[in-house]
Amino acid sequence: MKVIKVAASVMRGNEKIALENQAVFRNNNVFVVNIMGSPGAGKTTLLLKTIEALKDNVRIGVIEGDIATSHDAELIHAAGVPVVQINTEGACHLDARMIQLALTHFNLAEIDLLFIENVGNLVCPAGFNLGESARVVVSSVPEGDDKPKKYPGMFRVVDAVLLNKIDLSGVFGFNINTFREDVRQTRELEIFEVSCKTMDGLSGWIDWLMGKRSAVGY
Amino acid sequence: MHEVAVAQSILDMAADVAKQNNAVKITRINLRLGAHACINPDSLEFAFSCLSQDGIADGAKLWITQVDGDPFGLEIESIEVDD
Ligand SMILES: Nc1nc2c(ncn2[C@@H]2O[C@H](COP(=O)(O)OP(=O)(O)OP(=O)(O)O)[C@@H](O)[C@H]2O)c(=O)[nH]1
Ligand SMILES: [Mg+2]
Repeated sequence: MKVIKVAASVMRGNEKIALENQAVFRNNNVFVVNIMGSPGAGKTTLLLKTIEALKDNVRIGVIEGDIATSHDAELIHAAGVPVVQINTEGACHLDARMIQLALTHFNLAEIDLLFIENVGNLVCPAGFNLGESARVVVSSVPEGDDKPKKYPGMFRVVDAVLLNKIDLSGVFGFNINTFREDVRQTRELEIFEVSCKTMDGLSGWIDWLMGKRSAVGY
Repeated sequence: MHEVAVAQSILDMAADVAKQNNAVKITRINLRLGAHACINPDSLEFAFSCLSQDGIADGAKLWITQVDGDPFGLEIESIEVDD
């Protein structure tokens, strides 16, 4: 019997490519936001509203990750920004390699802000670094106020939380204080209460996003 | 979360190291698991036992130590092999 020292991360394959992606983004001054959250939380709707608000000032690109269909990419395309759809064909998350391949379809010199909409899932996407500059989770009122407690892994890796569909809080008896307190128990995070329907709170999110972007000097 | 994919990576990495060292059998793999890696040790072991059948690591034990270091990390610390 012999013991061989290995001392290597099991995720090193993904980490290596994530670092390559990060270098590509830096060289092209592209600020990249990984948007995660449950199926139907409102990730695509938020993107559409954000594009609407920013597209006259910032050159935006989008990578859409879904298990199947190009439905979300078609919506983004109709909003007039370059978009690439990734179909994971069953995989529950995007990984750094998928992003690396998708990047070959963009002219990064013509993009300032790249959004990556991850596969709708509150668990797996949190485990895969893509080389992004910031991560956010979109939660929504109909999912219930207990999600930060039940899915802490996601709330540990993000830089901000968007609580969407705030227009429905009365209907669902959603307790915002519970939600905020449970997020705080996991980590001290900025939480934006927004509605993509009434547009409430979206300016706070957009200011935060632009602030993060200028903080890295782009 | 995706224990099957993780088990496959562990198996591939360990098999590479074993072959580089001219070993014929892997008997044990020592892992260091962070507290927030979101890996369930039981399902990891189960996935590994299924994937490793009839290969170089058939019957190998996954020895998982929970560590404080990188809370999101999972590392292969070492492998034990027979020549
Ligand atoms: N009432 C209300 N409905 C919303 C709001 N935001 C999104 N929706 C609706 O919620 C549904 C799902 O929104 P999507 O943007 O497709 O959600 P998603 O997170 O992109 O979903 P997947 O990509 O499938 O994971 C749509 O019918 C939206 O119109 C909101 O603020 N209020
Ligand atoms: Mg979507």
